[in-house]
Amino acid sequence: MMSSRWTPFLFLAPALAGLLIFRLVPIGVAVGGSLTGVSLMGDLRFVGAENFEYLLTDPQFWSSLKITLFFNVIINPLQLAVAFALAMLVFRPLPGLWLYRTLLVLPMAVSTGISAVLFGLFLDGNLGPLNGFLEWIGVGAQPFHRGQDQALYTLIGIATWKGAGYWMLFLLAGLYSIPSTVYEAATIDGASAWQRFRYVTLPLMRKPMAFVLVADTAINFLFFAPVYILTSGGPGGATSLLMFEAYRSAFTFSDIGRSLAISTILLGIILVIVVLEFRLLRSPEERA
Amino acid sequence: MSTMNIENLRKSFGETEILRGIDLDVGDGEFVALVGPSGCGKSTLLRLIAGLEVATSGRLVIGGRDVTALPPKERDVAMVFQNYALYPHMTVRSNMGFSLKLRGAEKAEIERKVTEAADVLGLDTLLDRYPGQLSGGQRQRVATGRAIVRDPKLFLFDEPLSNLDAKLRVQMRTEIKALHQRLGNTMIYVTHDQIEAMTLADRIVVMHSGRIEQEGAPLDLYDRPANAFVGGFLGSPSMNFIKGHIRGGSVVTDDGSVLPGGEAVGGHEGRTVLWGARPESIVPATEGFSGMIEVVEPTGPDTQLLVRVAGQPLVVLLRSRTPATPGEKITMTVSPSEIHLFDADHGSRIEAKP
Ligand SMILES: Nc1ncnc2c1ncn2[C@@H]1O[C@H](COP(=O)(O)OP(=O)(O)OP(=O)(O)O)[C@@H](O)[C@H]1O
Ligand SMILES: [Mg+2]
Repeated sequence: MMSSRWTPFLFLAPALAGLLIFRLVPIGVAVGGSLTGVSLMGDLRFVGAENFEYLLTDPQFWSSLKITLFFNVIINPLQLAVAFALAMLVFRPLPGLWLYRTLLVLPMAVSTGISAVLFGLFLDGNLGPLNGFLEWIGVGAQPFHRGQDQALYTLIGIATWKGAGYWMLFLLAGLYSIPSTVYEAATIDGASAWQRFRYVTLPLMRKPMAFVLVADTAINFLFFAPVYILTSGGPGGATSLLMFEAYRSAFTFSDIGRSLAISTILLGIILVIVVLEFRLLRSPEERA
Repeated sequence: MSTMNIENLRKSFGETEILRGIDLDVGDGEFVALVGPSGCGKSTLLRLIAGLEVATSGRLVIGGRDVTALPPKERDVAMVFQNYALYPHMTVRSNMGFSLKLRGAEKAEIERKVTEAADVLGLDTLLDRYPGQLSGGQRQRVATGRAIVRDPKLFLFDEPLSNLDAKLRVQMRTEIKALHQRLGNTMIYVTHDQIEAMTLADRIVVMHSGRIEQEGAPLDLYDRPANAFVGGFLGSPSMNFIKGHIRGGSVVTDDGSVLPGGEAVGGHEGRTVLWGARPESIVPATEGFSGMIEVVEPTGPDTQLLVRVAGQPLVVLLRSRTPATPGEKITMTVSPSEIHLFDADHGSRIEAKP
């Protein structure tokens, strides 16, 4: 298509650089650190795989791993789908464009921490307007992030609200890069609106979708702030994602070795999944 | 195969009227070339025929059926785009078979028709390639093949060869002509290239700012342009125009030069006209009008001269390697039947009054 397959990465360089410096490098350092432990005397020593061996026997770790995987299996496709739907709405606007322009930009304008705090108020059991509304229409108040069954889904909802507009931008750029004559050719060939979407838009969006899915996955495995602010891993460990476990090990229990081992495992999982996703979304041309 | 009739078709984008009342009848199996300067509305007309744009008013009939309000799908027309608009993610085979697939045709039938079209266009060895792996000429063929496979009532071409180099363009031109003779479908072909229009078309339609200036057989238009615009538009290098008055069977310019009047002067004594002569109609002679040679451009077979006559530049195309030197005086003449006279105000052709 465009001049080079690297062109998109060039445009993404600033974002990728941020990811590298603030997320990946620390995790890289963590890999080294995961092989160390702190003795009772307070000095650092090499312990080999001890931290990992201990983790594998720790039910808390397994539970966190399960929650993290479940969280990602839901949130990544969900964010991709929502972002795609939003991109289509902006690309082929229906009436009321101003409304979703606002709805899209707002989450991006608010920082993750602040949005978590705001959601905390919004969803609050006593003061929250949403529960007020739900009671008013007769559904009744919901616990949301305070409920064992709902907390994880609430976090997924907040993260999607926050992230979809951002990912939408990449997909929108992808939509704009499809030449309009290709759609016109399809129209003349007899394709309905749905068939144009199915046979032209979707396959031509493979690359932007692959990018979004991969980048989103990497970020969502490192999902942290809303857990910290809203649920602290609770209730009853229901939202204890691995990233939060790592935080807790380091700063609550001062077990740096365990924390870094978790981070390392997280890194490994991300790498495996990212590779799988890239393969999954390869175009037939590249497979040939 | 089908006829097409356009009645008073108009199209506005916002306030601007782009097509200002087009009437055109195309016969079954006819090859019509649409020509005109950039922005005159050729593509817009084609897109209206295809159904990609909706007419502001007027009627469009294809094969006797009023399709003015119908979507592209129900018009049964195929279009070849200037940039080919191939589906980048599909192989040549899928590109060509896509319309049949959408129609729900059986796999075997699709395969048969695609193979057939690929044979005609010499694409048989490229069927499993992707558009990105093809040369410009090959892409053009695939775009044409995609249209052929459908066997539509009407083929529309929007400058299909303009992205090819000169040599390939000539080759593809011949192929398209052969294709038309073989298939016999009705074709409407937009082009900037007048040679393309002249060689391919049964009929040329010259457009200018949203109107049809003239239509007719290529040589008729060339020999008897209905107005100065058509005269100047068709032919390369284009027709020379010099302003003057008809006086005693000649055309006299403001500075007193006398140009031969040709066959049309009769009954127009004193009228202000545009005198027109094609570069290749002007030949050196012992008697006639004269001018000063300013530039000599040998092109190989021909020699192109720029001669100043009556203070105006005149292009002369000599069908020989005539030795000529800038600064020399040259005497020329034009055969009376090859002189065109146009009204100086509105540009329409002047014929002799009986
Ligand atoms: N969608 C549109 N909205 C507004 N104006 C348009 C639109 N499409 C075409 N036009 C205008 O209509 C006029 C005719 O355009 P069109 O593309 O039909 O010209 P054309 O004869 O095909 O020119 P070219 O030879 O350069 O391809 C131009 O002035 C163009 O700017
Ligand atoms: Mg055009």
